[in-house]
Amino acid sequence: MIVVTHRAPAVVLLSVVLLIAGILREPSALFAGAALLLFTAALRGYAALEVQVASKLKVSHRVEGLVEGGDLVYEAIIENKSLIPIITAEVAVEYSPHLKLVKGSRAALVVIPPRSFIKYKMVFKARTGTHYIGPLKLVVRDPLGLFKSAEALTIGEPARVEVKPKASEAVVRRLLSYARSSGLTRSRKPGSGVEFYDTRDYVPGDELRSIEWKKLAYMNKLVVKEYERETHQAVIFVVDATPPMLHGPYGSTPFEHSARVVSSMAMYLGKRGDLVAVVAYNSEGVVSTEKLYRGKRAYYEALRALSKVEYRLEGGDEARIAQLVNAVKKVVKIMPRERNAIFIFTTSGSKAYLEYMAYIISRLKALNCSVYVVVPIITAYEIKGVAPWARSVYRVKALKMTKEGLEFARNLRRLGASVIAVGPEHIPQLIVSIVEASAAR
Amino acid sequence: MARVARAVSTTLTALLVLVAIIGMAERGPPSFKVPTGPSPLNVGELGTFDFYQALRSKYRQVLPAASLSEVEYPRGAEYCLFITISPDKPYTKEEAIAVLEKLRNCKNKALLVADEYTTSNALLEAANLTSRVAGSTCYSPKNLTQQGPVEVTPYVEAVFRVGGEAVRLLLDIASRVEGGKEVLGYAENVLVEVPSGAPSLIVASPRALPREVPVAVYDYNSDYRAVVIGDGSIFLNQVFRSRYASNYSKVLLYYVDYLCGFSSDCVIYVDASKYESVDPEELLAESSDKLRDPSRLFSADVFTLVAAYIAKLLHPSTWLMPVLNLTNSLISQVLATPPYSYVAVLVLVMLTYGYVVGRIGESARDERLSEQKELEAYLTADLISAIASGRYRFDRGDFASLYEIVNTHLRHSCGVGLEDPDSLVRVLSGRVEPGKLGKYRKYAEKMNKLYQKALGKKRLPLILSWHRTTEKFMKISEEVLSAVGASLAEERGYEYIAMKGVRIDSSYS
Repeated sequence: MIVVTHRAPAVVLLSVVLLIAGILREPSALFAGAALLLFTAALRGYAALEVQVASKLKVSHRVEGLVEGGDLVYEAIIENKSLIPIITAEVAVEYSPHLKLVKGSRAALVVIPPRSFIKYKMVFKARTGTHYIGPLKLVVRDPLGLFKSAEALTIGEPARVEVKPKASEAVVRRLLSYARSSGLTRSRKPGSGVEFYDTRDYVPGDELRSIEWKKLAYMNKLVVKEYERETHQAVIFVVDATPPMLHGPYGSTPFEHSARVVSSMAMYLGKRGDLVAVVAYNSEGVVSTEKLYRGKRAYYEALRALSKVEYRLEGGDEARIAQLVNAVKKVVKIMPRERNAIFIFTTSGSKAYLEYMAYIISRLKALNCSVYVVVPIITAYEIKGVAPWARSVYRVKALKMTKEGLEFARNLRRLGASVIAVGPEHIPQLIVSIVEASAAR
Repeated sequence: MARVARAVSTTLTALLVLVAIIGMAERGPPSFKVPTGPSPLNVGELGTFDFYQALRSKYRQVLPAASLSEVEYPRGAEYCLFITISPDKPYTKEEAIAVLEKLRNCKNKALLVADEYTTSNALLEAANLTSRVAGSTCYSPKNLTQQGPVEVTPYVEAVFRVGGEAVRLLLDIASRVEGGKEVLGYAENVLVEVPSGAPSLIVASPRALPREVPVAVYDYNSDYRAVVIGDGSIFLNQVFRSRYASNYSKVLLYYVDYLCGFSSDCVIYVDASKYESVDPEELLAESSDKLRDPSRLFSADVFTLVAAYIAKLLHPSTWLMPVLNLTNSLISQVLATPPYSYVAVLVLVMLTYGYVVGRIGESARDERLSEQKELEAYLTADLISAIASGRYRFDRGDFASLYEIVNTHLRHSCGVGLEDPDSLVRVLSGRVEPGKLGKYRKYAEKMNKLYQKALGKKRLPLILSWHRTTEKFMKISEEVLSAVGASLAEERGYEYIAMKGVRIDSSYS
């Protein structure tokens, strides 16, 4: 449907005046008025034609750069298969409000030639999770802007974009060296493995290849080498993606930071041969890896699970508790019978949330699991988004909130949970030390 | 699939109405004619509309024949009847044959002829029936005297057979009916019969004897059946509206029933073509003498005449041209008079403009498409926004917060808190200029005092504005903290020190 813009009445008035002047006074004005009116009608017809063509435009997408921190390139290809050009089209792209556009424009005036296509390119700063880009809204006008489509036409479907968190190679290398230097990667118990543990006297049944031939030569004694037993730990990360975890500076929200830590940990643990699973929950549901994975697969599956988290800032405490329960059910379904290390990344919440969390931890502990709750302190994250000159004021004003976060962690501890209250740095090392210590026990 | 009703636009409707009005005007004025005489369409006293209505209430298919060409009996109909009542104009032979031809579509063909004159006999002749209306008028004695002439009246009493019953009816100017197979009614006490058209004053001989004269007969042959009645006046509305109406309708409807075989499916045409019509305008015109003619006046009711006249007045041919002429002269006058002509042109422009703009579509403000708004959500968004815009105030609680933060930093950095100003100054002595140590001592002492006041434990010192006080001490605190390598504004600040107290549970460590 076509509507008249505020420009059209002036043209119509002019043509009417010319027509009436032509009828009453000057006949030549009649032709001018009629021509102007005819031209206006033709423009209206063209605008109506444009609407028809616009409603049949084909839109396809191309998305690149699905790793956080990088450029997320979105390209919409708008194809006009008809013989009629769209001379004046205003296009606006809808996208998830949690994404930040770094290059390109949210709206533009475009010309779509007949039997041709145009490309609309936008670059966003990628952030972990699932986002939607599109559909496109389009308004057409006649070349003089006298008429326009009554409503914005929606063309194309939204593109679903799953951005994976970026594991820091540097962090992983640091973790590996840290673990080796501190001797954390060893079980410190004899068994099968590659690392030398000790020597002992030969007992019947020992493998001949383990005999220390040098010792036999100079001590004339059968001695065998022992190797340190390799341990494999099942580690399950539970990441809270409910609204309190999604607030904060772009790219540095507790969720994004937790996702980054988890991906780094998954890479590290995968390299070490540990079993890894990830379960994330937001206010509407749970996403997770299918099972525990090892090696590179563990890393990729963890990334995939974290990239499926949708940003939902709606939902209250009840939804948060309900999805926490669902997430733990998923954990129980995934985890093996042996002892496991379970890390829950969550921020402070209400008293009910605290009690549920404590109950869940006690139940998991009853299943012989080591459970650790990593509590990001919100103000430590949000202060990153505050200008340096205002941080002292912010810190003073937000002290109460900081204390509440810490109090949540303390209360969890009082209720019997193992708690790590953290800021956005140095978590991986801390978690590694906990994992290694847990494995060595 | 849902049906969509589309309304015709007002403009198109108006255009069609205009075309229709012009067309009607072009065709000329309507020629309204009010039927007179015993026509079934005449609702006046002298019409037979009531008889016609009585038939309609009894039979399903009863139609008036305004023209003989309209007579159309359905093929294969069981019973058909053609009724004619005292026609003003006689039937020609061709007309009679045409009517009878149309009756041939039916299995049982019948005629009902009621006439005091011979105008209907052509029908009977064409049907090869023997009965005829004689065309004479029967008279009965009015004042019977022994001597001298006898005065007579055309109102004769007649006896009609209705089944096994005899019904007496008063006839008005009845005629003898000749021929026929069976006499259905006869007039009693008929003294004389005079050919129609005789002088109105009839005097009979005193020696004349009353006689019985047949006035209604039943006739038939192999093709047709007929009832012939020598008086049409007994069908008139004035009879059907009188108190004796039941007797008349009983007789007449019985004969109709009889001819229709007592079947309600009988198709009946009542002839309305043989009567004169009157133009109401002419009738109501002052110059017309018809208004003064009682027979004319009573032949149609006044309401019908007035309605017909109004219909003529409403017809476009009556008013369209005068209205156009009036409008034309009005517009010419207005356009010739300058002040009014300007207003007229302006109104014309506005009306045309309004119409054109209304036609080309709804108007809407042409605005840019709304762009996607990006959202960076903070749980402390209100606080951040208030700080950024300078819309914040420190209170005593904030001062206490400042104290706790500074104290935590100092304890963490140099193991000495604000509670012990001497030790603090000692620690700071190697890190700041000696001249500032006194200032920092005072600062620590004041901080302690104000902290106590902020907590409500002391009343002094007096504070006019906690906001200004907090701001002032915040600046000095920053100086002190920078001396020990800390800051209130660093990103990795107080929170990280506080977190150390909540790192891991005792069971693990």
